[in-house]
Amino acid sequence: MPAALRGDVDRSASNSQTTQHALGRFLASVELKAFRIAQAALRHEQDALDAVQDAMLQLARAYADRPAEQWKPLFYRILENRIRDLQRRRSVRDRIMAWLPFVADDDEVLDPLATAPSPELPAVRRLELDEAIAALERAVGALPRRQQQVFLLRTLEGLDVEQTARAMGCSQGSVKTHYFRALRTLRAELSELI
Amino acid sequence: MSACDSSPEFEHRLRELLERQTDAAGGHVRSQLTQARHAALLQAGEHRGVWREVLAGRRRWVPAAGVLAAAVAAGVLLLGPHRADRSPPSAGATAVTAQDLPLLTDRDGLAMLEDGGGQFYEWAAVQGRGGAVSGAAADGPSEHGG
Repeated sequence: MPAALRGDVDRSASNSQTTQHALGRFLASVELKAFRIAQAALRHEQDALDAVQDAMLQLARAYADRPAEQWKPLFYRILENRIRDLQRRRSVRDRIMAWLPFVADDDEVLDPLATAPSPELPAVRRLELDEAIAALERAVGALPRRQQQVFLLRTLEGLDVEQTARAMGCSQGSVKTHYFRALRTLRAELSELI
Repeated sequence: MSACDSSPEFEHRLRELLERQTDAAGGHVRSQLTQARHAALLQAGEHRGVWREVLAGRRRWVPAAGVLAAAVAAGVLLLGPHRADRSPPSAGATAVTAQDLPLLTDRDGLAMLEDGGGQFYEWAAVQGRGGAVSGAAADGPSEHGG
């Protein structure tokens, strides 16, 4: 192999390692939020984990070479598609399961770490916070799906209107409308608690 | 949007609660997410590694295998319809070929042909047809009788 080409290949290997480190940092920064967004939409922990894992794999396989600033909207777009697929699949599964006798779901095991109280807060304050979080979770869960996703992408993930529109595959005007309606509903539901 | 609906304090409070809820994710969720991340990075590394090795010439067989696969596919496409039209060879045809093989490889037969043995074969053909058996023919060709 010519020396010039070998040099190109070495540079390419070095760039590849840099990209991989950057991708690792990016995925670590979004994985928990992505999980919460998926969980709010799917209301099933394992399905949410599967959706996030699939989105990570797809991003790494197909879009790792894209500029890093494009990763976030792309990642959430993939996640959004995956959530929709899982919801469709689940609705089919539910229709089938409705005809079958009830079987307990062994996957739903309570996580003691997740349910353990946080040690640094006084008990009363902790109780208030837990109540507020539970109420927020219920209210967000009850939002229409598009409003819910726009609200979480903007509030939790901090995407701007344009990035949210790209992630959701809709117009910026649509994002603004969904976000406004979500906020209005949440305010009506939670103004006394929050 | 009214000022009430877009209150930054309310949004800030919501964000705070959401982040707190996110940070409270259980150990097994974090562990599974970490595993998923590593799997994704591994896959990205492998995907890029293959192309780097192709570029570096360490996997020269990859393009060669692609060309070979394309050639095989083209061959199947081109020959496929003709193969369908073609009927399989009959057992009889195969048998004749097998019978002819010793004749073709027989050196004596070839020598006979070169030495003017054509008359012998004419005689043999007449015998085979069961035609009129002349005296000369019945005795065989005089030149060959020797």
